[in-house]
Amino acid sequence: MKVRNCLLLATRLFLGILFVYASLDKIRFPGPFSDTVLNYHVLPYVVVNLFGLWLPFVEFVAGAFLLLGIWSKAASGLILAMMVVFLVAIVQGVARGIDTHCGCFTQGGKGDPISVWTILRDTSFLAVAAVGFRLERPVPTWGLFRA
Amino acid sequence: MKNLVRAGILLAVSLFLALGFNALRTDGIEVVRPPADLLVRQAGITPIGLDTVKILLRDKRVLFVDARPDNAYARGRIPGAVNFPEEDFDRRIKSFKDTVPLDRPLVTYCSGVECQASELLSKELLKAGYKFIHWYQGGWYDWTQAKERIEK
Repeated sequence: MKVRNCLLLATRLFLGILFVYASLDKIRFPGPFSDTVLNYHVLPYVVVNLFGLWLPFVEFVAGAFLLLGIWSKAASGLILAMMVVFLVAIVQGVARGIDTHCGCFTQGGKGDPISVWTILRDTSFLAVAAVGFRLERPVPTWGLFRA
Repeated sequence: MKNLVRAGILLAVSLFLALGFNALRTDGIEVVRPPADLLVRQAGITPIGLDTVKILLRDKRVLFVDARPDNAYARGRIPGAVNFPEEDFDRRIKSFKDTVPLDRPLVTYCSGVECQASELLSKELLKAGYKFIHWYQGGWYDWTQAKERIEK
């Protein structure tokens, strides 16, 4: 297996598992997750719940498709776009001094508050997502191990 | 182009799953978020404004609970308020319950209408068993704008 394919496989596994895992608590607790979204003060009040319901399923579907190697370029693009959105939300939150939990993996105020550390972590995830997106082929590559 | 269409299909499938799952589950939430004061009313919490806050402040049975972080509390607070940062709820609730009886009326507040800490704290306190919770949504901003007395 070429180095490129090994790298692609590693990014798919990492991002796929990360996004499916991150979606589970949000799907389980839509109310607290919507409260967290509201706390970022980015979205209009009326769309907060819709976003809080929708985003976890985008994470789950994109992560699952990436793991399965189905429509992986599209799934990888969605994950890259989500990482950009997450990073922008967190950076503006830290810059404005908003006191909120990240809401990234756990809900109900149980996670870490957003901080410079959260920005660094998400920046590294964004870098992995960008590499994964760059390596993905524009044609379907069915199956995880057929990278 | 083909991948953009596929990404759009994935987004549409996700939306369909999200709305369908939310409609089927017993603890689903409103797709359009109801106004904040309606939400807390439904939860059994009473939203109050500045005039009511001033009346309640004269009643020594009422305990004011500041949901802001420790450093904000230290810089100034509504007179007599105790500090209970919402993010520290799990760590502090036991000692709070040891010192504050469940039937004592509470007024929660945080920085102002922009913050959510007092709303979240009110809901957590309600779940913890407190019966009379008032939520001062205007919070510290409203209080200081009205040039009311503060404590440092």
